Amino acid sequence: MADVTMPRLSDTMEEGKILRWLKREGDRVEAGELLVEVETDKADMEVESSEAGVLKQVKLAEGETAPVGAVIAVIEAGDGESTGSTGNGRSESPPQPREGTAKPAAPPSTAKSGLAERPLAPGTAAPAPAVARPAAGAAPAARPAAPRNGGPKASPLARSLADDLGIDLGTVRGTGPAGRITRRDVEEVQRRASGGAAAPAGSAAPGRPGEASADHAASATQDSAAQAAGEAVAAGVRRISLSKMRASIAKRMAESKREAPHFYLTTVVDMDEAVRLRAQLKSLEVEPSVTYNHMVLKAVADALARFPEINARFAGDAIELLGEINVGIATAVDDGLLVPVLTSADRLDLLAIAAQARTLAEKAESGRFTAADLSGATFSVSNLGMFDVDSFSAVLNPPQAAILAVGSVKQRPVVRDGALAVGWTMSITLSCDHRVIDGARGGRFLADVKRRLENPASLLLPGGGHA
Amino acid sequence: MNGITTHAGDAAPRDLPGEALWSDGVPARWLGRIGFAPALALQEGIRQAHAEIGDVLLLLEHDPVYTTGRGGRGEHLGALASSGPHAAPLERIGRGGDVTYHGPGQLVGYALVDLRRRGRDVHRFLRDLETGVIWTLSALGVRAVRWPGRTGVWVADPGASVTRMNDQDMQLGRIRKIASIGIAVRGGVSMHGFALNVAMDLAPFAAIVPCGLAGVRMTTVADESSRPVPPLRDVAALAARHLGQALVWKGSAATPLTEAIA
Repeated sequence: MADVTMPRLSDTMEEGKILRWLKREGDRVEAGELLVEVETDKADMEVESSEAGVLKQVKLAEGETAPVGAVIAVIEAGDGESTGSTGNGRSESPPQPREGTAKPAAPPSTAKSGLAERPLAPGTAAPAPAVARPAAGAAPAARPAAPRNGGPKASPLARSLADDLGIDLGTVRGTGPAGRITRRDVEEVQRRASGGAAAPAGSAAPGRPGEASADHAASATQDSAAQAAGEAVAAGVRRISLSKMRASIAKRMAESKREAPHFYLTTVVDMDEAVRLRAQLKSLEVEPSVTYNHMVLKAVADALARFPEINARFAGDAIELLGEINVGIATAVDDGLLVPVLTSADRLDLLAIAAQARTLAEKAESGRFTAADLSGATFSVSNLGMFDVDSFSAVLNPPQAAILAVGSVKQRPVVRDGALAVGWTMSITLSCDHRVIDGARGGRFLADVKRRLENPASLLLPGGGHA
Repeated sequence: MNGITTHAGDAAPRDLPGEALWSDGVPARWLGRIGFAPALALQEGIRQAHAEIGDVLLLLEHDPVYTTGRGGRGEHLGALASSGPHAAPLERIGRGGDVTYHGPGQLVGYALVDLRRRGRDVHRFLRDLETGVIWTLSALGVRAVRWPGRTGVWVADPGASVTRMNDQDMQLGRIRKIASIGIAVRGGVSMHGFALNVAMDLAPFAAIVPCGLAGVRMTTVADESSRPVPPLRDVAALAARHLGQALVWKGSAATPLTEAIA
């Protein structure tokens, strides 16, 4: 017997829908023969069997959806022999790592994926694994596991959220297609469990780590104290249990303020030239479009290349200068913030930074970060300009030694040649860990960032022209 | 056929109808206006002979027709007119996606591309189609975007958030759909592709729930661009250039960076 599992037809595929079974139960199936049509996203893929035998059981009906790795059918080896290898490297080691974690009890011989894509017909010289999609280990760690067999249908997001919150999916009523449990359903259960009545769906607009965690933490602690004492929660108080993300923000931000002696340096950048450059790029219809924040990221990356002592961290008995320049972009998400990372940002030109930042923003929106997207930042940029914040000071993101807080780009009164004028300006504030960076060094770095933004042609040069 | 080389050193696809359009990537051909059935037969023929013909992008304009994919739901078909000004036949076809409409003034692109040589990543191919359409629109003065999770190409008002696109903005018409995308993969080769609304009457869309998205508003290049819209053949020439490039496989080492630049 071999389980046929929902094949992974794309690195970003999480689930697939059965469009049409091309074989019926009881039909004989040859390895390499077309078995099923699967829809993922807006693509309708023909998928062939990697097993030979009899289609014993169809477990997922036409029109139904299941996560990658879920069992969709069972094929019984036809002529008594154990379901043979098809000579296809991929069917030997199925690409679905999740199945393994989901059902540890299954004997290895049945854990085989019954499907190969059509291109890999048996007998075809299978291309080296380099061309095949990443092996189990390379799959994004953040992806939730496949459902246990027979468990309720739920979206991957709902599943991981339920895991985080310790909610049994069996107790959740699904409102998605075909009773599928969505993230909203899990949140609803959580909300009810925590005593909240008809609470608005979106929580408060997420802000910077410090502020956001402060006010959430306040209501949470006050409440848990009350509960612990067995007292009724005062009317009108809504208790919000900490999500994993909120708990992590609370812990790290508190640790940062406790451990790292912060100081702050602010300067105002004359943005007239940057505004002009952006308008020019826009009129040239340069894709991807470049924002002021992309310019800041580029200026920071170039300045870090020139001031390695800022791209550093405190390591107890030493200061470590970090080899790579990886700039984190503080990004607001539903219930907090994430800091996706531009890796080796100093080696990217402005358009590459714009393109990558956009991709990261899309991933933030869809919650599809891989571990690699979120790790390894050596410096961070937090921009609240879109909320019309003039200037602010950010809390360091340990173990990073500095973070730049960016305010809005606006027309403001400026003094030029001794006369009052109107110009585009932007305030930037550098928070520094005083164990690593002294005032003068921080000041020189900040002045360099400012100079690059005020002479934005340098942002278009490779390596910032080492200006 | 007409002596235009479309692929460095390569001959243009032989024995294919239509006019070769300049592309430095996947070769493209302009077929003009063609019925749905003959175009489907042509796709099927090219797919079966793909080993000899190679990758090709067919650009064309259809007679009015509704099509729906196998995943399409009956209720999205709405009340299709069988007579009157918007009468058009319905074709059920093997592609991904729900119901949509094709007709004059819409540029349809069928990409017959070997996904076995493109890392076999079907989502990535959909993203590449979107990228090519976005580049084409950019050349026409329309700034278009992707909506993660909602395959296709969209236009968003300045007031609508592009990084946090949402259904409410769609219902309010602040995010509009300008191109639909749906493909099938048969024998490792893609079929179907995209439909870009250039300058057309959108009324036939009113009879259906396009793409299965209730409340979605369709739009056209003519409605979104402040510039005069070139004839469809010239739009096809832009699409050939941009999609030809976007569909070039850029290697299997798909780091986030190369993916983002692609």
